[in-house]
Amino acid sequence: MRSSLLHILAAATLAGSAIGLGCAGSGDGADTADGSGTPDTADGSDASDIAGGDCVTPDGPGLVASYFLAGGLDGTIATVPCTLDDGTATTCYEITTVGAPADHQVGPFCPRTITATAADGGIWLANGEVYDIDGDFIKGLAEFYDDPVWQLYDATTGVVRVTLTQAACEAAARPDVDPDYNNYCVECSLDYVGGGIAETTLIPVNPVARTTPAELGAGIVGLAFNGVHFEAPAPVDAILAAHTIAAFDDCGGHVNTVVGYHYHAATGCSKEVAQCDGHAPLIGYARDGYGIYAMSASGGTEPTDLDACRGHSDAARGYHYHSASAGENMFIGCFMGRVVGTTTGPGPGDPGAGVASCDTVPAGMPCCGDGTCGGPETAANCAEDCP
Amino acid sequence: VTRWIIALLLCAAVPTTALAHDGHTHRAAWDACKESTLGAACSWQDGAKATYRGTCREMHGALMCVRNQPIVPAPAPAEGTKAPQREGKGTP
Repeated sequence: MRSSLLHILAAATLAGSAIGLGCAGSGDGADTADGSGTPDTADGSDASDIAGGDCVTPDGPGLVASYFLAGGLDGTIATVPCTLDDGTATTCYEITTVGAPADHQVGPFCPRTITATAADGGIWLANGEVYDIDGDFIKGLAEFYDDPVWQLYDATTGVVRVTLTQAACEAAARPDVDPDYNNYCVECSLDYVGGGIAETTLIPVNPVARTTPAELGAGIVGLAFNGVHFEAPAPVDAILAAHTIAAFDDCGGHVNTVVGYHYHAATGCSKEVAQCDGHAPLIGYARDGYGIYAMSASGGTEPTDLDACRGHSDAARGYHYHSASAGENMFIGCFMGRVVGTTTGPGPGDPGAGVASCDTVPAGMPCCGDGTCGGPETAANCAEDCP
Repeated sequence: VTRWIIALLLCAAVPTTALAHDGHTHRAAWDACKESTLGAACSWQDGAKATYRGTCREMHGALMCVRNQPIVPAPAPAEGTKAPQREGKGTP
């Protein structure tokens, strides 16, 4: 079924189409922020267009609460007082997500044998390209990475070494990969975190522009309409050095036990909001409140005037971002708007993410107490482990 | 025999790096900013020699090349030369 996955991904990502891999497509406006079925526009934009299942006419920047799918939320989206990173007191949307996508299944990630097909595994993002993780991909990793040490399977049985328990997934996913899990395909089940980790995100109702970009750091980049977080890419040195791959599912997401399920690529899998003027569809919002749109419109070309954060302005939408391609393993490059809190801080728990904190990582993992923030935290450069 | 000697000398003259498998770096976007600074211009190429241009931004404490220009496909091969092939098993 998924033999054409890569073509679908290409179509969805590169062309920004509304193709969904068994997921809700654009214009699915029957779901509202409060689950009532009645569009509840927060900014006055014409959400009735969404209910019609067609497209919306944008009305400047700013989050539209009704675009979020009720199934991805814990309760309703409220407005609350908040303080931006420059000290400005303002009003934010308080969005609590349940930690599991409202519109598609999670997984599969790692295939179980070297005869597995593309339907049995997820995808791997490397060097600008998207690869199906099937049996042939697992067998070919030594050539793929030009390193004979790669062998994620038992040569006698053909069984792929996969982290099948919570302990294994956490040991393999920690910043300094447990040597026992070298040459493993790493996956974690959402069951390890009770089916999802609820998270509350504050997003300014009225985005406030910055004069200079702010780095993404290690926090949440933004939110998809199905409640899943967009996360920044993590350096790959640690996981590749340990000959592990932290497999993504077909939707570009995977699970760790710190933040749960999250996306690292825009695959066209989650709900998109089509634009009536033919602009690329809206796929979610950045933490600074600006919209994140697909890389390009269907049949269109990518904008040529993107700034360093991958954003630009037009008359209909004001300032907004365009996601990078799925193979680039990222969404946007930085924030051009003010966010609540800081843009630095604890890592989200992905392999190689580094700069972990004892507030957010399980006991026994290295923590950031040494000020070494220029690369992944390891047992060597971290003075103490978390109690 | 002379031809063999010439061939051996030619082989010895070729840098070994040119003979090594080009392979996937898969760190290309990170490597592009390894010796760079925040906000500096950067570029890297994928397996098909398409070029990605942007600036270095910080992600998780490390610099990564964030593309903000459309991807530039590899130039068409000159007549008589072989086009660069995408490596690996899948392409988008």
